[in-house]
Amino acid sequence: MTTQGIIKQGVYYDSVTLMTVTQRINALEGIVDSSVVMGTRENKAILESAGLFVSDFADASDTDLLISVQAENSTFAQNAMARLEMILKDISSSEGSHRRDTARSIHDAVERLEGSNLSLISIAGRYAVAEVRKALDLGLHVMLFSDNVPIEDEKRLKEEARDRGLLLMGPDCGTAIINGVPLAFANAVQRGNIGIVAASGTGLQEVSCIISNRGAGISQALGTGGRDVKKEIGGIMFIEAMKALFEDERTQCIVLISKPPDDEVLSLIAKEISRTDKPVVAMFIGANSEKVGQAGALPAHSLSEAALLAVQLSLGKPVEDVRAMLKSIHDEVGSLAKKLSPGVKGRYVRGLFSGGTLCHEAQLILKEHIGHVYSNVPLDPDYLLSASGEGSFHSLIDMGDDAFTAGRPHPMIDFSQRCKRIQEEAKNPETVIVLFDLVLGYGAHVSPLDEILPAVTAARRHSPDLLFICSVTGTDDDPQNRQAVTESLRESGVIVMMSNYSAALLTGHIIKNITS
Amino acid sequence: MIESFVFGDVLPTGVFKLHSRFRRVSNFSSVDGDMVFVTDDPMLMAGQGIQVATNILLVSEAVSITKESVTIGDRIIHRKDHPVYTSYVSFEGLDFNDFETRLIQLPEDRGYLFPDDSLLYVLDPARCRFVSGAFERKLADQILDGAEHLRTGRMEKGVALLSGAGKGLTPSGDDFLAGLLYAMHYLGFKNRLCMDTQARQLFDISKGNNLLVNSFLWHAMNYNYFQTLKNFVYSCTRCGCGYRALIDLLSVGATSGADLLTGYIFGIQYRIGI
Amino acid sequence: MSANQLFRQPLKVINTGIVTFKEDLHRLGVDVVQVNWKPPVDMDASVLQWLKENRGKIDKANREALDIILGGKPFLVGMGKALDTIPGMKQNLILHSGPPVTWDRMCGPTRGAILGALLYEGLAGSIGEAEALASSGEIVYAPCHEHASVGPMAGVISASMPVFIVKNEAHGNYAYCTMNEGLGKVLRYGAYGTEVIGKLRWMERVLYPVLKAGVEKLGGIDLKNIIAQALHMGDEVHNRNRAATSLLYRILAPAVVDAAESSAAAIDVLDFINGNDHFFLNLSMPAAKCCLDSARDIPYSSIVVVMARNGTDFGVQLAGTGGLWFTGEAPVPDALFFPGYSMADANRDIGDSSITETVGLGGFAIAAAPAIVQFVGGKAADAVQYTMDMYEITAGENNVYQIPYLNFRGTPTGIDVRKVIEKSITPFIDTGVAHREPGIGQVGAGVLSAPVEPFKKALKGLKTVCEKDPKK
Repeated sequence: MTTQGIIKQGVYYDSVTLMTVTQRINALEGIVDSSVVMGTRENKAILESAGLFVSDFADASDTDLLISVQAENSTFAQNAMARLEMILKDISSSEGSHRRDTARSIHDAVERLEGSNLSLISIAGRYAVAEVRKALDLGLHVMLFSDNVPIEDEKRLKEEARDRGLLLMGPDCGTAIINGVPLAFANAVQRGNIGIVAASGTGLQEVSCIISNRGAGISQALGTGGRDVKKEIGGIMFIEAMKALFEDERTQCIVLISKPPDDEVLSLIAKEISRTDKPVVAMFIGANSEKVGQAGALPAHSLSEAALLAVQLSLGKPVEDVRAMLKSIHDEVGSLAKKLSPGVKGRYVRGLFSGGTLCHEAQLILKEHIGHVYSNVPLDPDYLLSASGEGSFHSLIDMGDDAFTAGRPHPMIDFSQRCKRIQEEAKNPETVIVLFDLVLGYGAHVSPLDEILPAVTAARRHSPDLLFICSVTGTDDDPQNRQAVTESLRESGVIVMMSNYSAALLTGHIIKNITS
Repeated sequence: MIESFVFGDVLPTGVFKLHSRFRRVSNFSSVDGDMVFVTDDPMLMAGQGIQVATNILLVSEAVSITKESVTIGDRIIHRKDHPVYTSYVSFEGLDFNDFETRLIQLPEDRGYLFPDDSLLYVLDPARCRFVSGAFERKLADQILDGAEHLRTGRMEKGVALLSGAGKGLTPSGDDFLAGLLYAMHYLGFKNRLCMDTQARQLFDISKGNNLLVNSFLWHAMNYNYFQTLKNFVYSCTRCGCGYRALIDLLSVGATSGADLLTGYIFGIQYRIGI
Repeated sequence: MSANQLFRQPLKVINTGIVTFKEDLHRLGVDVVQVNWKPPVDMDASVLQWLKENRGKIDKANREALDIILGGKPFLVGMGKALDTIPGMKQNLILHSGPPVTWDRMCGPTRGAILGALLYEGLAGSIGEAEALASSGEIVYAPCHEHASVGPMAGVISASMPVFIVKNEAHGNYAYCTMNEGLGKVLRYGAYGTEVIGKLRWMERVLYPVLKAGVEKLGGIDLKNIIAQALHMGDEVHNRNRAATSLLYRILAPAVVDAAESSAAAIDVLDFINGNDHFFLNLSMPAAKCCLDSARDIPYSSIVVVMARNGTDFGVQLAGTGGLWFTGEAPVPDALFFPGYSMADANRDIGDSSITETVGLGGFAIAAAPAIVQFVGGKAADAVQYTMDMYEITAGENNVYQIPYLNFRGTPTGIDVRKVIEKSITPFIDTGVAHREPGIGQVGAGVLSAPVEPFKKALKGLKTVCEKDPKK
């Protein structure tokens, strides 16, 4: 606890201003008490007995203004003193202000919103750098939704953020959950003790939803943007986010999600893992899990597995049980596949994904069962689809890829491309399964069924034997309500699976059944 | 010129330099420590004030006043062409009983209109629950202590504890004391006593170096009423409930009006100075 | 604040960009403020760098400029013939509004007004003669602003026109403006018919001598005082001058009666002023002009001292760039049109009256004028919003001109061209709309945001001027 004070000599403020100053100072971070009074002898005595007196006040006269603050520590006190001039100036002008719900600039916004701590930025990438820098200068954490930010800028900004102890999530960070608040594209998940660091947006959504649907919860879910784990950035924010969660009392176990990081970055992450006592689950889609395993993390091979491991850790249950859970999923899916396989026509699966990581995970699972599949974002460059993305053999398409989104909203919002594609695939006699994902939550389409159901119904009318397999990423608390969405899909003849993992697995089993 | 002016009835003469400027009032002081003010808000008018029709004159750096004319900045105004604000209040024909009953009932009836951090706890101890902050708690102890001294006839000690104590441009305790001074005017009239000595004594103990505070107390000692106080007193004596006038008085400063009124009621209720 | 401190605080978000993110957060009960972000004006990096390096100097210069502008004391001190009073005025010189413009680039209303002026001066006997003379090269054109003058709309001033003489008592400089002709077919809107010329002759013959004598009798009229009061009475003294005209009328009436040779003349003069709600505009403009002119030639100052349009170009001058004009195409105003007219009839924005905005009145003070909110969408809140936005681009607040609704806050005053560019907010201007063809007159009134181009050029120009003469 510390008390600091200053004297303002010979300046007169009216009583209303003085009262407002006190209120505003008291609202600042770390301030315990404050007082703004004229320096009369009596007031000085009262300040002294109230513990708000500082020695400088001794010489003040009754025409001077005495301002003293009591704060948790001297940093808070100094901060309050530094803000004082601004507050005085602000009061004299804001007295006549007309409150608007939108600000003209980030500076204006900070003045409006006392205690603001996070800036969410989603303007065009080429302008975003300047806004991020302003936010960092104002001491705000940043979630940068925008993409198309030059990688050199990303690196420089992330270094700046790190040096200031601030988070810079993104660029191209689509989702995060801070203090239980879903930001941008995120789901309404339970709060709990599982922390997530993800360089993959839909990966984060899928894992956090499975965790929440299984009765555990999220403490913090931090996105870093996909490029963070590349060589050029060096995992700056991934590491910073890990450290923050290691320190966070509320976080008891941690899930790391990313596409395969650069080797050096992976080593850095492994080194960081070995420094904590908290259990860590690592899901580096398709990467060699040896390094992180050696560092003490539990490697997961799918998003579902990562989520299940985290739930076990969170609830204090043995992680060994996860193997049995996965087996039972396998068994269930296997028997469902047996039931569905007879009578289908065609040979190939066509996957239409809105989530990039989900497309990736599905490719991995299908690879295990039916070998490589083609994609616009293939695991192996040999399986790259032609530029037009024409379906050929088995193919999974990430419709959020730049080639599809150029000039259009993301497929989680705009279903037109996917619906068109569904029609086309349905007309193709070679198609046996249309596999797709549906990502719910804030930011996503408010009523996706209005878009997707008419397309599915029309396609089924044309090819009644075609199988539609879908996974729904979301929770019942999401604005769209996962259960309602699931039921409607099922009523329209769509096979809805509980995770992207099981949807892909089912697809793999059915294809295997057909070909054998 | 087309502005209309109103001049206070107790304007001192002399040359006055800008002392402090607020949004709708500019205060000017002379080397002798006399103060006058210029305002464009009729509700702020008082015996030492000059009311102008346009705020432009508030920007002036100096005012000089003679018996015949007032010069604000470079504008010369002849006093005889303009009306005068009367700061005097007469209690002639007043129903004393009714007036006092109304005032003493006021904290109970209208206490909710007083700002939370006003000194009304002196009259209504239950309001101590609104006091928060270390300074405010110690202040409350001291104010209550001071009020107790006053109530039990130890004027000097009580005034010393109240004067200069509290928040605001004029510390709350001084606002309260101004209320006491105005109460003496009423008490003197009612009881046909000359209270000048007591008032002078109170003023001498409480005055300090702050010209604004001194001027405020000096006018209270001389029973010069400012517009909102005058309206309030007349509304209590003649025009029924006085709700509007009460609101206006309570909106003077942050708590100034409320603290003054608390002192006023306190003075009348406990016959301070008699 | 570290991430771990963030985890312990209530999340408070500033959202820049996609609005649904803000709405979602709002529904979740999270404190969130939306930033109404606009792409910044495209500006040379070298200019921005220069601004950064010279920030201190510019700030200091701007404070000086603002103090001078706020300290101005405009008084109407007399009247005279343009030729005798306006510095540099000549028989064959015609002044017009806005930045310089040649005859071939002049818009319809300006051309019309010039033809009218030539007829009025007796330099041409017919429209045909006037047209030939106007383009002959014998007549010289110059902006009013370069002769300490201002004119509304076409702003044409010729040698024998009577003008108001307004003096800035604080600095001793003068500004000049003609008398307002009223509404209908008038010269300032490019009309030049016989009734237009007839009215001008009446103004010269009857109105002028009476007013001149009246003003002299009164010994000066404090215009700042009238404007300050008019703002409290619902004027912004650009598109609404009703209160200010009334206040002026109260002052003038006894003097007019005293000065007029016959009571019939007095009645005519008083009726003319009484019948023209915009009579005061031609005083609020020179009042603004003489305050701003005194803030010229302050090296490094990025404060705007002139915004003016000639119906073709929009021009800006800065306190720190001497007599240089920075121009861009004048926009067509978004207006309320009189019955029978539409945007297709409208001329590009025209007139020196944006000098009122430059000094913190007009569109900058529109929150004070609820009676004319139909120009800005019909809601008082919109008017307030426009004024609030102007605080974003001004160096300070007026010490005298106040807005009652904003708790008597001073109007936004002293446009800082740096802020205009940085925040991508251009000045908001109230305006009248002239028909694009000469001779037709006013077709509407409305508002517009100034084009950004002149401000961009002005900022670059400031750098150039300061670098050319670094000792300043």
